[in-house]
Amino acid sequence: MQKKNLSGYLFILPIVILFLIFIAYPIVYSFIISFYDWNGISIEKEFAGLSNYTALMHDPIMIKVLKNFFIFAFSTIIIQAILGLVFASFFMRRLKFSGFYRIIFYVPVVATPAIVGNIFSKIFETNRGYLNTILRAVGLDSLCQQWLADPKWALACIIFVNIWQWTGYSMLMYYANMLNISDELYEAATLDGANKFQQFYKITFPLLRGTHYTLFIMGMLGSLKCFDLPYVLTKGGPNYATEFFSTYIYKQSFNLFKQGRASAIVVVMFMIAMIITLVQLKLYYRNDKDKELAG
Amino acid sequence: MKNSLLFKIGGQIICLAATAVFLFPLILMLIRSFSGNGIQNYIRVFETIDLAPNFLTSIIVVFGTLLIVSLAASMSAFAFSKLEFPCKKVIYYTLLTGMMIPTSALIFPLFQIVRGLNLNNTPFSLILPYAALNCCTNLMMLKNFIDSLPNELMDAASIDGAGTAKIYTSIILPISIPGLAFVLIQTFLSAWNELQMAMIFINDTKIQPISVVPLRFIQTAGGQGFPVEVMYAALVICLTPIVLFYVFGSRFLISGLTQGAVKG
Repeated sequence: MQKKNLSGYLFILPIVILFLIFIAYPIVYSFIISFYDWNGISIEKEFAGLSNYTALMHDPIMIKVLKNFFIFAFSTIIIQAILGLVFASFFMRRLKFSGFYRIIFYVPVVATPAIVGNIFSKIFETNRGYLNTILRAVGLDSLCQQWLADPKWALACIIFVNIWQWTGYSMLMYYANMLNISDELYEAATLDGANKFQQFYKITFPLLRGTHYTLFIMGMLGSLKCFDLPYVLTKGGPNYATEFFSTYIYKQSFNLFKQGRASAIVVVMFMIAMIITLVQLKLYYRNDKDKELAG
Repeated sequence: MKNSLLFKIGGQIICLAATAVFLFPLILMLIRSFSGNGIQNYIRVFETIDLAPNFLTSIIVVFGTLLIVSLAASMSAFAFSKLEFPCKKVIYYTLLTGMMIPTSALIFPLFQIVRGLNLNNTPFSLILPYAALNCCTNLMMLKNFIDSLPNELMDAASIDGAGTAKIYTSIILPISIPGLAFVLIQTFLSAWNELQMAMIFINDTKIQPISVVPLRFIQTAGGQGFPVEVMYAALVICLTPIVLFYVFGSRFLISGLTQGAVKG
């Protein structure tokens, strides 16, 4: 028994070391730095107590960041889920060319975000952008916008690109879990006279509860992490209309050298991530199926 | 389960429209990359910028990450699944929180570590952080996969006198290849495409990974000697490896996602 204990620890040693150095240590470090006034470079740091946090509470940009986070999270999660469900149920009903569509719809998920952002920045460009050119060509000049340069539209554009990129993922998750639902349920429902819509509403949708949870959690965390698209498309602008936690932390750290402030935002973001994680664990413990965490 | 004609036609229309939307940006890029001077645009890319060091960095980063992930993740997944030791549950769930942590929360301290070790501006600055994050992300999936393998194999081997290490290398590792392959594909994609750490830890544009290179084009495109068509050609070149990878891996990736691999 003694030997067995030891060997178990040996097997997890590499991952534990990686975790401690590259994940746990940085979090602890940020917690500590968040109480200091520091530019991130000089040797001197000045203890600042809670001032970084009080400054955050009075920071109007932080309110924008929170607002953008929630708008972004809920709109992408809901729209991706609806599209994902529609496509997945097409595939379940063996629409022709399903295999082909599945592969195509998943392509954006694997495309490099910097390249995707680069192309979309050319599409949304105001003067010679393809979107406005197309709108003008079909005579809808009135619909032309400044897209990424207009605070009213910039966030919507980023949400659109995100949906474009991640719908394939939701689709595949739903499809994978629909395959697990027993055919007998549908046969029984058909015998009872339920139509396709009722079957979806009464059988498919409730039985996909685990997938809804997973996609919700992944979507919330993805929105918290969201960096690539806003960084490439708008750099957080115009006027902070597309500022997210990640881009704001980046600016504070690497452009303004306010490491204490940046760390305080990190701590806030980390707290949100932990709340999401706790919600998730609670949901899964209730079902006592931690396997569904992944799908 | 016959589909109605309305469903067939409506479904095809929706799916075709979606195909157009999903492919539009990529096809646009491809067509524009040939506009003007045709294949000359691609030759111009090779004349003006040398992407070989960038590809080399990406390749080193990705394969280094894959190597560490395949070892560390499979060893720990095996231990958490089949071995007993104190505090197993606590350690397991603590490690799982690793996948919840956004990169931005780690990036500055990681940068300090990397700089302290004199690794910045080398591919090695990215390998260990990527490996740590990907191990945590994939640990659960791999553990669930190994959970589904029968214990009898292990029991038989240990009756034959095989030690734990022997059981891991000669039994668990070979039969968990399907699960591991799926994990490695996911890791490949995430390490190849990662932007945030890559652009900060390697700021020497000559050797930046290919996921960061397109950022440069945004500033320079349209200027003298680097027209937009050439930029599109450069983007196509940057995207080609991952598309090829997807073309060959997609069958496996999608079947992995849909059949069991995720759910274990």
